Amino acid sequence: MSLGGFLLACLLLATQCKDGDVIQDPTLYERLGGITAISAVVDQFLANVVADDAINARFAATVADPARTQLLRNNLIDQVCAGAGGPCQYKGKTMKEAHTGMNITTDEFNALVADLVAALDKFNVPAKEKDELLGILGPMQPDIVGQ
Amino acid sequence: MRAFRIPLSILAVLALGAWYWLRVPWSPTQTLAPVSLVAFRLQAANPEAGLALAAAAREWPGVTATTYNPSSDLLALSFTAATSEPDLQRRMETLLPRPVVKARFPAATGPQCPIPHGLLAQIPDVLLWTGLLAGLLSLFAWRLPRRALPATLSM
Repeated sequence: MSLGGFLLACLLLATQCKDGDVIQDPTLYERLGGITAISAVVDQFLANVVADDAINARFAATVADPARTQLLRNNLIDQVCAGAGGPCQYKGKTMKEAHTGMNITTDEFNALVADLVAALDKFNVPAKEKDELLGILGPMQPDIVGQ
Repeated sequence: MRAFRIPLSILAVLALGAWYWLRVPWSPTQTLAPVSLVAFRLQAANPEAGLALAAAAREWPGVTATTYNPSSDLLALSFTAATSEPDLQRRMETLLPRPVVKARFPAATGPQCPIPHGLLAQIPDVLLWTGLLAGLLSLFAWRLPRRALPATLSM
């Protein structure tokens, strides 16, 4: 047996699937389409929010300052990416810290969620992935509303 | 210069330590092109005209997202540096029979940071370059020879 054949045999032996090996299901991040797709949804979501008179006044200072716009956008992308199992790290404040003193109402929160759902629908995100994503973000409501 | 070697060394350590503590860990998000947001009041004749303009605007260079909200009559756009607010406004006004007005929102209430955010975002870079420069200067200062005493004083 040549050396090459021996090395090939070793490689095959080392990499063969064994009983009990599990093929990993794609993460929500991968099923959503990765960072490019998530950023497209977040951009659409932010456009929806800016056009929504129910809540756009809350974002007036952010829209007026490109640095703040970029920070909000990147934080949103990082939050979705990290929550979906992607290779991102959310570096912003906690939801409680970020919304303290703002007295966000339930109606405002629901308007924001509606804008997010509209963005997901615009990109035809499948129902399963949409529900998973909303399931990750939904529990943030108590830390956002009424702070 | 040699007299500053210790203060420069301390400055380098402190600046680089502060930079390390404040730095933003790398994320794939940093590979994305920055975007800006703007909204215009269209005074659209009907919702269909606004929706059609939003669909057309989505294809313009540099535009990453558009929304027309019929209840607010606002067309909001997300765009990169490939275009600009005046350019977007001009393009819209060529398609609509009337001028469009940039939306002004009521001033937000609630806690506001007194320091412009653009300034805050620069702090890690300033610390990094300060630390590197101080480090280089301190290395140079440590390597300088001690100054020899003048012959008259050594007598």
